[in-house]
Amino acid sequence: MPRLLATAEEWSRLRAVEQFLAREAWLLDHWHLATWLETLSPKIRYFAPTRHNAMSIADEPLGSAGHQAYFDDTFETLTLRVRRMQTGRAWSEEPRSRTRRFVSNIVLLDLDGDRMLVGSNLLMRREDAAENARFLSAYREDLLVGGASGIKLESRHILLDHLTVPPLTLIL
Amino acid sequence: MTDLQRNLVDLGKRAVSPLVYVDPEVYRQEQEKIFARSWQFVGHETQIPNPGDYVRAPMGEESVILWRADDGSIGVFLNSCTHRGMPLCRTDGGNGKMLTCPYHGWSFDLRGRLKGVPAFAETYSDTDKANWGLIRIPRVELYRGLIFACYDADAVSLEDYLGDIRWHLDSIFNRTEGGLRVLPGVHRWDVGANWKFGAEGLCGDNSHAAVAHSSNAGLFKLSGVKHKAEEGSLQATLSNGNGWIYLREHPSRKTHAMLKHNEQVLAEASERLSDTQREQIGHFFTGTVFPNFSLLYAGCTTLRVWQPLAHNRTRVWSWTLADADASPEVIEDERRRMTLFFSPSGVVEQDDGVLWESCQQTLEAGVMRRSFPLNYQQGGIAERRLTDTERPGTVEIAPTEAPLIGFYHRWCSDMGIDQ
Repeated sequence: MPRLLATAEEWSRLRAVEQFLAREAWLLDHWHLATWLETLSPKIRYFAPTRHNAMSIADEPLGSAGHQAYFDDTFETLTLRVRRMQTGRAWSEEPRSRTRRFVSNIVLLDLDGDRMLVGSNLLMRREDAAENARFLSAYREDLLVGGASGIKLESRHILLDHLTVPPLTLIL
Repeated sequence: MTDLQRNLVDLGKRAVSPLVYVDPEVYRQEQEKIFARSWQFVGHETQIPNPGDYVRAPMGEESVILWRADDGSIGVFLNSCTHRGMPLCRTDGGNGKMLTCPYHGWSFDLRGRLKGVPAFAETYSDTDKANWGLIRIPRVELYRGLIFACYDADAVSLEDYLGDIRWHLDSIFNRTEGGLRVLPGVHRWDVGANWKFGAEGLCGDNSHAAVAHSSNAGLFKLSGVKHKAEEGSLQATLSNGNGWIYLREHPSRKTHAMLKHNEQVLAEASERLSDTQREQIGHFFTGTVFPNFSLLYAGCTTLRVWQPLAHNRTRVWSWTLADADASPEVIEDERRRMTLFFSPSGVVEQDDGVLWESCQQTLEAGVMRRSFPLNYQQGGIAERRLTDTERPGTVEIAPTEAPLIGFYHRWCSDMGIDQ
């Protein structure tokens, strides 16, 4: 449940988080992928479980280890994904697609020292080289760690709003 | 034979018209002549181990329910109420002795029988519930845990339909007593291309890997990405339109836990498989059972259905399997490997989807490109054929597109096209 912000400290943390996420989207939309890697904690877990239709009596969890996933990455595999994109032969993104990421509805879910659990919505339009345009919608729950000297993404849990997914060629 | 059909495939010249991918009429005929008559993979028995377990699955363009009955048998039903057509199962599955339609309340039991209709006694006079059970797919048979269903009551047995690809299926599904099990969850994505792109790819398109997936060479320890065929990498043209690719994989591409597990599997398999079948364990393979069921192993195992939705739209259903008695560590390694390489975000899979869509759009765009055939002439060279082998079918040193000619031979036969 999102916190109700009260103190100046909380508002200031929220602004820092908003700027972190906006800057991240900018880096990704502008293909500064190596710089994006620098925003990650080496401990990063980057996870997007598969979705399924569930009846209301069967509460669908966010997904956890062992669950089939669309992304289940570490710092090592995210680095490999980025290096693949830099080979010039990653045909899913060569020629490059045009993307625009819209990050909104940012809420603080938890604050614990320099650790912030943050919820955000992501809407991304991607138009590929053949002009196929698709929208991707997702909720992201991020664990951000750090303060004034710099924030790092330590965990990202992506809940795709798609039962059957569009092409997942990019970082979300 | 119509004029359209006459110009589709020339097996002698090993040339195929783009119309097989882009013509809506060809697609419509495929539904009637291929999908309505073929044995289709619908699931694995470990998805529904207990009585009452049910799961939603694709079958041709439609949705079916696989339901384990109280006697352990498996029924396959169209996922549609017999009253107004409403789908009964709108989740991925569950367990129950009854499914009730949310529209008018008709309820059906796990054998597909119509059991309840609201106000039935007062408002229906000449309706026999026995005639209004769920629409049952008439033929359901299992092969080593793989569940297949067929709309054609007069079809040959599943074993005959599978033919000699059973030798390969045995090497996977009969290597241990415990067998394989499907991990929870399914990868599902849409590709804007004809279903045959995927089916052909795993049937016998070996030569695309070194080019289409070359971005991965050197970055990932990935099986299958090689610029030259290694010694012992083979392809087989199998009976009934099926095909198999087998590539020798260097053991360093596996984690320690996977290698240790592989040794255990090899030891157990010595009692159950021939030496040649055993040699395949732990090495890369892909295969397709005509028309649209494929298998792949690359340090992780997947079963695939290329579900046809339109001539230019395919829904991919991909299940991940692991040895039922593998350690949690090995299963986790394999699951993550599947996600990284062969899920829709996979560094291999995502290139295929985009390339198939581009082919589809280009072939579909206008009459000029469509009037020129596609080349299927790689391979089929006598000197590259293995004759002294227990491996079934016509076996060639990879790469070759000969298995795709086998695929289209079967396709023509089903479509009623003389060759």
